[in-house]
Parts: sequence; structure tokens; C-alpha cells
Amino acid sequence: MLFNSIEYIFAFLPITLIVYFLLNKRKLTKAATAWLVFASLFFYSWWNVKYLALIAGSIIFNFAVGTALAKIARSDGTEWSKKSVLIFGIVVNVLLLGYYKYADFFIGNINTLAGLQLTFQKIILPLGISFFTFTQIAYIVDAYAGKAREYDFLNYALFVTFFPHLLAGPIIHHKEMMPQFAGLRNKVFNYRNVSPALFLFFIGLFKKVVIADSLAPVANAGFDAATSLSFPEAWITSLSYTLQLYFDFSAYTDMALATSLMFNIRLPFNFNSPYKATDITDFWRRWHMTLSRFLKDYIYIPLGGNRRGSSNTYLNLMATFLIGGLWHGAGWTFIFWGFLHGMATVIHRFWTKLELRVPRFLAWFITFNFVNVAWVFFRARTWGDAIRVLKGMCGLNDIMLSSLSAHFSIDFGSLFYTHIDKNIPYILVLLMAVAVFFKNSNELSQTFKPGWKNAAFVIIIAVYTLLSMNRVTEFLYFNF
Amino acid sequence: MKTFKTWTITVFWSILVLVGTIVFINAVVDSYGILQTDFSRQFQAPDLNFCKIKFLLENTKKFDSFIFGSSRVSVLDVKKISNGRYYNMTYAEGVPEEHLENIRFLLKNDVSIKNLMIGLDDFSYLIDPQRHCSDLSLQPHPAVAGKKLHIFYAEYFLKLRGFVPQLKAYIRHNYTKRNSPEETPLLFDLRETGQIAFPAWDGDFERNAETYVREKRFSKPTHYEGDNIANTLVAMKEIIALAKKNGINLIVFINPVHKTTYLDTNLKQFALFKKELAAITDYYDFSGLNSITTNNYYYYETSHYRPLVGDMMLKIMLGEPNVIIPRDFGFHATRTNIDAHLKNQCREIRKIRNKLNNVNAAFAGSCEKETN
Repeated sequence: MLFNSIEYIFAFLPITLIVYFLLNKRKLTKAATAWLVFASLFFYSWWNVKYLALIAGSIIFNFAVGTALAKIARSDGTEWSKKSVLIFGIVVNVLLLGYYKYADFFIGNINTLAGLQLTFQKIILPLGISFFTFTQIAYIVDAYAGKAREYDFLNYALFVTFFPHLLAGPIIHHKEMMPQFAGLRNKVFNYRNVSPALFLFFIGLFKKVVIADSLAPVANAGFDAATSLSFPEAWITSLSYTLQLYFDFSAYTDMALATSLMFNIRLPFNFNSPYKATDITDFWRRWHMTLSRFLKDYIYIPLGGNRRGSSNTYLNLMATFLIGGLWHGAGWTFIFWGFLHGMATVIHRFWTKLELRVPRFLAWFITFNFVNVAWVFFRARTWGDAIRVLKGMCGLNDIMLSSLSAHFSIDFGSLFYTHIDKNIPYILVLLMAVAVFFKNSNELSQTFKPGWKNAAFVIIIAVYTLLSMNRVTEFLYFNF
Repeated sequence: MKTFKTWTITVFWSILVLVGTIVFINAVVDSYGILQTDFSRQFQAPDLNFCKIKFLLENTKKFDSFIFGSSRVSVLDVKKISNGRYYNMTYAEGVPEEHLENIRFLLKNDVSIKNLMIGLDDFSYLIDPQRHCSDLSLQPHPAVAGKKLHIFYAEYFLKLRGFVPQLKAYIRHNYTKRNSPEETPLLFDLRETGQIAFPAWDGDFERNAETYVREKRFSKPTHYEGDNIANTLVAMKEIIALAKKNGINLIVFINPVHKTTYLDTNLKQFALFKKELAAITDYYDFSGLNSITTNNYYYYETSHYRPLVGDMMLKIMLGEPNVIIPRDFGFHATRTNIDAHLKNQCREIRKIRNKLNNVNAAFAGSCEKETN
């Protein structure tokens, strides 16, 4: 089920909330937990009931691994036996993810390299598999380290399946969630949480339905349909995607955080105005923050982090970003995107060591444009598509100035833009300004105080958005 | 507003009331006729593809014969056909892939079909029907398209776009003096015939025929582009197979395309489609340059022919009603005579080669060889 769907907003969410708090009100806390697990699995199955067994199996397996690790720790088992259980757990999780997400990618590469004709499996990527697998890998690693213990299967199932984060994160830690679920005060319907949650939810819905979905046709036309892109068209294409991705994913996160807050559960922040970043490290502190945290805690640091000299640090950074790229999708363009970010981080680290300073605006400009160019590889279906867009962005498909003047003085619409809003360049500038100069939705919701102005604001955007959502589209991060 | 509780309650109820009001008004106005059973007060074309399937599902035994096609076939008068209880399934831009899904759906839902007529156009093999799925006036029944019902209805009623103009049109149409059946330009008879009638237009046309035939609208082609020949032929093959399997008497025909539109379309593509179609079924070809398609009198504009043309087509295909037909109108194309027919059509356009666009001029130069 999608947060931006009619069934979610008008049926699933209100029913789940009402039943959950009613059960808690009658002191049926276990039943309330069971209800939330049931509702979350229903939420997951809405997409395809076939994969319910997959998530259930994954939960049972990881709970068993976590319990085994705890038992070994209690019985003073050897470090070796603990480690072998952990490795077994991680390998099974990675194999599961690998099978569903990367099987065809590997088959394709083997076919190319060995000249074979192995049949593609054409496996449909189960929704949220990257997220619930990473969440559970984090859990078993924490269980191994003694940072997480869960003896109640229902609680564990709730931790993994809690529907606000199930499909596209944030990637959560057991230790930050379970105390909240256990807290008695969180079992009471709380207007102090519901009002900022409503505020945040409708901002998220607006960002998705009105902004991101309006940018999608522009980006799609440029990346998928056009055979050749002029200079302005290529920039419009890339910026549309850059903004679409931000508004789409941050919208999802807003709605996830807001929904969770309605249940008095605070999920970790996942976005902090990433396009305000003035260097690439700063960008990764602001973009998909929980994934960055996961990659740092469970890949970069275990690899050695920055503890073994500069060259090892650079290698560890590259490895972390390559894995991050591969996590996003089974394709060489994703790996290359990871490589670009890894390179940029290495260069930034080197630059920082030199203690050279650049003006803040220039730093922002370089960072933003790097991110924007890198997204081209992230979005493009093939290398050819990426090169075509980049060639256009470099003005290699036409004479830059005459094309610019033709577009800006006469008409923005040529080639593939004939069916697209002619005001799109101005809209992109406006959205850039919103992303760069304004407070983000998390900041706004954190400082939320009830008042007429924000009530009117929410009513207007909510009514407008609800009446614009007659075409439901998936969130981009569901593909990852 | 001082407390969180007041804020939440105010916001929640305001949103609910405002959205509810707009949904209610949209449902009352019902511009696309989704909830209607009586279309006499319809102020714009309803989504006929949906409405007709919905109606037939409720009346599975009422008809046993169907004419499928685009809006152009709407003037084929089913009351003038005696070999079955005909229903005209015309819907805007209807193409074979949609007809196939609808026929399958009807058969699956206990509608028995004795006779089937499929009308094709110069755009039948160009349009990807997928694009109709996002057009509220063209999209198929959700049960046919596999769409969830609540999503389907939300598309029509949970929307702000077009709210004000459609509300204005609804008020103007229903609450002004002009609202008499005679003044209504379009009549949708969904219950008895499925036809769309244009009584006001026909009356005016007959009264001022000489002026009308010279109007500028007849020089503006109805333009379509695309290439969906392969899928269209697959759909036609499946329709033929379905007809054979269910003992349905099938007649296929190509509509008489107005000269302006005909000469604007890619004739090479059209000829290719006709040839491929003849390889899988016999059909009547009313298109080409003939005394009907070259005379504006027989058309409302460059897309839709008038009922008197429909009568002639029925006479050729079914032997009724009793009307006089020009000798050059209608050709029964088969696998064996299609090449000769296309050669003839090629010769017709060669005669006016200087009036053709570049694409068709080039085709005119080479078509006699190509059709061999």
C-alpha cells in the first residue's frame, strides 16, 4: 500500500490508529501490538500477498539468529561460535537480497563475460526487501555486539514490520525503537504528536503528489523518450530528476515519520535539506541519513574506517560507496554512481587535509552540480541514456548560445517538451529555491505550535493535494 | 487556536468537509456520466466505453449483436438491421485492442453474441490504447482494465481539475432556457441503440447544405500519428479466433474516411495495414477517394460521416435498409483482390499528386510497385 493512496489515507491509517489506541485504552497492550503487526503485514501484502511468506520467513530467521546470539552470550559461548552464527546470519540475508535483487544482474554479466546464454530469472523485486534486510542485518550485528536483545517474537516482528518504515525506511535500530514501543505514555492517543504529524504528513503528501509527480514526466521524457537533447533540455531533464528524487523520497520520509508519530513513535530523521550541502561529506550527512549511518556503522567502520592510515581510509570509503551504489540497484550505472560519490568523498577528504578553503557559495555550487551530474547515472537506464543527457548538458548536441537564446527568448518548448508545461524552467528555479533557502519539513514540524496560520496552510495544501491524487504513483525509492 | 486538540480537530474536520463537498458536487455534476443511467441531460460526452459495458452488464440478455468501432460508427442505425438485436458499442477513438478486451469481457459475463461488426479507421492501427487509460472520457471499464473500482471512481470525483468549468457547464446546461432536447446537440441513447444522434446538426445541415459544404472545417484534417499495426493485427486475429470459437458472424469494415483526412494520413502505412488485414480476414473498405468521401455533404466535419452514409454502408454489408448507393462506394477486400484494390487506390491518388504532402507524394510515386 502506498502512503499517497486513497485506501491508505481514508481507510487503512484511520482504522489502524483507532483500533490500536482502543485496544491500548482497554489495557490490551499485547493485542494492540499484535494488531499493529497484523496491520503492517496487511499493508505489505496489499502490493502482492505472495511475498508475505518471504518477509515472514526473513523475520523468523533473523529472530532465531538474534536469539541464538543472545543465548551464546548468556552461556558464555566462545567468540568463534558467536561469530559463526553472525556470519551465517549475514550471509543468508545477503544471499536472500542477492537472489531477489541481483540474480539477473549477475546472469547478465556472466553471459557477457563468458559468452553464455543463461536464462534470466525475471524475478520481481519484493517491495522493501533492501530495507527490511538491512534493518535486520543491523539487528543481528547489534545482537552480536550485545547492543540489542529481543526475546519477544511479537515485539521483534513489530520492530521489523512497523508499516511506516517498512517499505522505504528510514533504516532503524532496534535500540531506538523498542523502548518507544514499550513506553506506557506512548500507548495513549496524544494530540501533541498528532497535530505536528498531520502537519508533516500533508507537507509530505503535497511534495509527492503535487511536486514530485509533476516533475516525473519532464525527467522521463528527457531520460527515456528523447533521442537527442539540446543544452537547456538536458539541464531541465537532469534538474527535474534531481528535484523529483529529493521531493519524492523526502515526501515519503515525511509521511513515514508523520504516520509513526501518530502512534507516538519517533522515527529517525532521514533528510536535512541535502541540497544545502557545501561539500560531499555534508551531503551524505543530510541525504538518506539512516542509510549513511548504516553504511558507516556496518560497513565502513568494520572495514577499518580511518584507523589504518590514509590509503586504507580511502579504500574503505570507496568500498563503502560502491556497496551503497549496488544497494540502490542492480546495474553498472548504480555502481558507477557509487564510485563517483566515493571518489568525491576521497577527494574532499584529501582537500580537507590540505586545509584549503573555498568561498561558501562556490563550495555549494560545486557540490550541487556534482550531485546533479551523478544523479544522471543513477537515473539513466543505460550508459547510452546517461551519456546522451550528459552530452546535452555539455552543449555537445547543439550550439549552446543560439539554443539558449532560442529557448529563452522565444519558446522553451521544442522537441520533447511539446506536451510539457512551458513554465518548467521557472518552476525548477522556484523549487531549487525552496530546497536551498527554506527550512525543511522536519525543522518546521519540530518547532510546530498550533495556530491559525499553519492550520489554514495545512487545510489548503491538504484539500488541494487530496483532490489531485486521482493518479497514484509509486515512490521512487520503492525500486531500490 | 491555542491547544493541540483544537488545532487537530479543526484541521481534520475542515479537510473532511471541504473534500467531501467537492466530491459530492463532482458526483452530482458527473461530467463523464459515470453514475448516470439517463443521458438525456448529459452536457458533454460521457465515457461511453465504461457506460456501455456497465449498461450491458446489467442487461446481458437484451442484445445479441454488436457494432464495435470509434465514434464514427455511432451513426450506423441499429434499428435498420433485422438479423439480430443490435447494439452500437461506439466509443471515442475505439480501437481493436479495446474491442477485443470488451468482447472477451462480455462473453465471460454471459452476453451471447450472434453478430459482430468491427469498424476500423485510419487511426485504428496508429493509436496505442494504453493512452486511453489516463483519459477520463475514454478509459475502459475498470473490470475490463483490471483497475480497482475505488481508484476508478476517485479519478472522476476526487479531483479539482476542471471543477469550476464543469460546474458552470452543468448549471448552464440544466438550469437555463436553452435546455430543451431539440437544442441539445448530442443525444446519447445508451439504453436502446447505443447510438449518438446529432439532430440539431443534421437539421441545420439540411437547411443550409450549400453553405455548410464550403465551410473551412472541411479543409482541416483530423490528424493522427503513431504505429501500432502489429498489435492491432494481433488483436484482430484474436477477435477473428473468438468469433470462430463462439460461432459469431463477423463483419469487418474500414470507415469512409473524409478526403481531407485521408490525404493527410500516411497512405503508405494505411495501405500496409489494409494489405496485412486482408491476409487475415475479408473486409469492406469504404475508404479511399470516392463519391462519398470527396463530398462534404456526407460529413459533419473531416472525421464523422452522417447517418445517410451509415445507411449506405449497412445496405452494402447487410443488404438493408433500402437506399441508393454510388457505384464507387465500398469494396469487398479479400486476400486475392487486395493488391488490385490497392493499385486502384494508388491510381486515384496519383491523379492528384500535386495536392499531396511530401510523404504521400513519394508513396504515390512508388505505390503501384509496392502493392505487387
